[in-house]
Amino acid sequence: MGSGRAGNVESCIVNIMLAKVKSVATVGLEAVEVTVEVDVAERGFPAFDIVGLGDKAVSESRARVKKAIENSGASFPDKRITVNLAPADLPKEGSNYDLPIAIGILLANREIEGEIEGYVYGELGLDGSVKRCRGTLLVGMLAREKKLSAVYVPIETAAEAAVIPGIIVYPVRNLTELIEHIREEKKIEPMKTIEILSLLDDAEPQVDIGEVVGQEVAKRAAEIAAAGGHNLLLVGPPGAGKTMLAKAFPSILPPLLPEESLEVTRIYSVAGMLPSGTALMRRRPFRSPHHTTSMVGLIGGGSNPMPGEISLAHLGVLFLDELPEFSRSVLEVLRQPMEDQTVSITRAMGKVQYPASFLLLASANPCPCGYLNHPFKECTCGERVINKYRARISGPILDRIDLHVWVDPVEVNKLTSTDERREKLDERGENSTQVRERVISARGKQQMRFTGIRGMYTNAQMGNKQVKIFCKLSEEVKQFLNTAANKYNLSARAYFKVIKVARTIADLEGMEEILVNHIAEAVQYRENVW
Amino acid sequence: MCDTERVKEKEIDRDDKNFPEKLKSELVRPIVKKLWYRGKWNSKLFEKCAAVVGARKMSRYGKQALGEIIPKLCGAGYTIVSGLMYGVDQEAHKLTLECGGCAIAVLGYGINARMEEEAARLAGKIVERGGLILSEYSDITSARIWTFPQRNRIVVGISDVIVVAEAGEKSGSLNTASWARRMNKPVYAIPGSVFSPTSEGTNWLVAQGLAKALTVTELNTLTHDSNAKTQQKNSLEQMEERERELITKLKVEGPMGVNEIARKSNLSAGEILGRLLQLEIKGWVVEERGMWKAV
Repeated sequence: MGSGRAGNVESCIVNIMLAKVKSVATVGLEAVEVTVEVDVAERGFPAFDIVGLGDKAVSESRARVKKAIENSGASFPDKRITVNLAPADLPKEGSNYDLPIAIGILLANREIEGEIEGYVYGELGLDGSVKRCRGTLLVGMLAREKKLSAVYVPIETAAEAAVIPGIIVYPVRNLTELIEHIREEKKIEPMKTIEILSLLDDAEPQVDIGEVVGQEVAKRAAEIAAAGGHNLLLVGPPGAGKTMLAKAFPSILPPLLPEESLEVTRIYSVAGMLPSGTALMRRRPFRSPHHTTSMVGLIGGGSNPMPGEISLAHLGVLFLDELPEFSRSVLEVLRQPMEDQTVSITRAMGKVQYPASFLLLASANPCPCGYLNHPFKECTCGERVINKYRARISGPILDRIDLHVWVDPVEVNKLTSTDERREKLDERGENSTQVRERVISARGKQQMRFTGIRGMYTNAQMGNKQVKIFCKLSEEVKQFLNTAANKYNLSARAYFKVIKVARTIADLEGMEEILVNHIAEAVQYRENVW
Repeated sequence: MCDTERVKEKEIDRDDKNFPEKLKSELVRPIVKKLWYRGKWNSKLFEKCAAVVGARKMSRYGKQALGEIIPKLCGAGYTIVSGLMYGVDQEAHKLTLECGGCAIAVLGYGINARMEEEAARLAGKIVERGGLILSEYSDITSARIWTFPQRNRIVVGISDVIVVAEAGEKSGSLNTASWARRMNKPVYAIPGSVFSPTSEGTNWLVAQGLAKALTVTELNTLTHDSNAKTQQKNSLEQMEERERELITKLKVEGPMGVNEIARKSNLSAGEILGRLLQLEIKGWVVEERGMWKAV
């Protein structure tokens, strides 16, 4: 690997028909350079072998490559063909080696004369068309890292690579196009580099937080959660607007920073989940897996480990609707990633580490029937049933949730009463843009605060040590907090949580100092709703 | 408070000198001949007893009320008697243990019958802290529909005062109240909202004149605690404008949730939450079931 110039035909000795083409293998979120070596021998029975620990998709590649070459107007040699994917000890999976193998065969057989420099990446159809492939962004990133000038990638996913500056991205539509390009008969038009910032500015909101009527407390809590990266639990009867609020939540999140966007896109590219033609993830991801989701679905896995929901929610929101309905064992696996903000999965194929720094937004009914403490509906659950239901969310999980909010059922007459009153309501309710502005400025303050501390962006991430450094309390405030802690039986853990939340509340108000009212508000979000 | 007088036998007869005098009263019918028990027998436990009973289904309100009442009763030297059933009973026992009081649990089934996990654990703690588990049923007699009302007569029998915390329309606690009536013991019921199904029974008791409503004053006379009211409240004038506004609003318009207050005032939800908590600590407002009211 790495010796000599990439992809040139070894043509110094005429008798040896050997070609090398560079391609890329993805292992987790990392890309590894792979050299596709093709030997076409005159002697021996005609055959076509691929070695180098390929999976089923790789071995089936032979059929696709053969037909694609024939259907592109070139001839497939009736000779002994040996393909080696080097390094040979790295397991390779997927169909993205079709294109480099095809090019390698044509070069080795002198069907085309010329050179190809850069990574060749893509799946072939029988008609010679090049199909979309997972991980195209990683190809671009590796090319920049290895200082290669060009990548040849499927036209559908080429935009992913085009966000990487300093490389030329050739979007390949079909094999014929690439053959003509190498023969220098007709060059492929390179893709323009896409400016990341130009993509990030627009976040089309789905639900505006202003559309959620009433629920002032819950909205406020959502604002604090978004600003400080605090996990949020909403508890309330069905129909109170928990899900609606959750849907509006992305609209108040701060925009992705360019580096963050690349990080998120990398995960989606590897998972093959970027919509075709999209270069980047423009918005913070919002994942809401169903409560029947398995452990593997949530944290990732598979024989060749794929990112799970928590990694897909990286730098965004993981929304677990009806939290107690998730199986307990599934919820428990969240504990480690919530702490470390990364998850490592070990499987036969190797060990992979995926980032998983997400904001957990959860909703729950207060009891199985849903009407516990409802102002006018009777709850039909017995005490034991309720206790059992509560026990489904373990202490350690609750522990990691900073904000606990009770969501009142909305009184219908308040929503539909006279127009005049309705207008008054609308007037008072803020829309997402206003809330988001405050969130962004509060995040800015946190960024300043944590400069120099790696991997720390938000108040929620502070450990007790940082709390002591960054959240100095005046005597008066400390005294108040102690009184409150006594009155409401706050544990030591809840005590620090309150301070962290109060820090965010102060940040939202643009205050350097944490005041009594900030602490008092934070105490209201303690764990008394579950 | 809970001295120990070791009695090894696990049963005590009516003619034993330590058998509670109160249970020998002729008002306790049918007569209690014998009691089985767990724990260390201690006659002092029976000197001043308050029964705290209520429904199996307990609301947040009930829990909150118990949280206020039980420490006061314990502080005034009452032994808290209840039935070890889940709901109000277990909450009463738990709170009693938490504030260091003495507890007696009277079972509606045999002393050695299998209990549910939670009950068993609680029973263990009660014994550990010098309390008693009593039953008039031997060994593993299982619960019957009539054993619980029979048990109630013992609960009432050994108690000097009965507090019904929460009871629905057909709660067994109403049965306790009727035993109390037969034995001429004072009954207090914690009144609740007219809308609350878990307070229907207690409200009915009060309405029928079968129980006194347990107000703050009543509780204070009960516990001879008269300084409760005086300690509170610096004057309204000393408060901040906004806090005064909040209190006035709550006084004029009645209890409200924070969302409603936010809609009706010019304050943000965040600020209201903060202010209310401060007012609660100072004793100006209280929260129950998400509604805030001025006191």
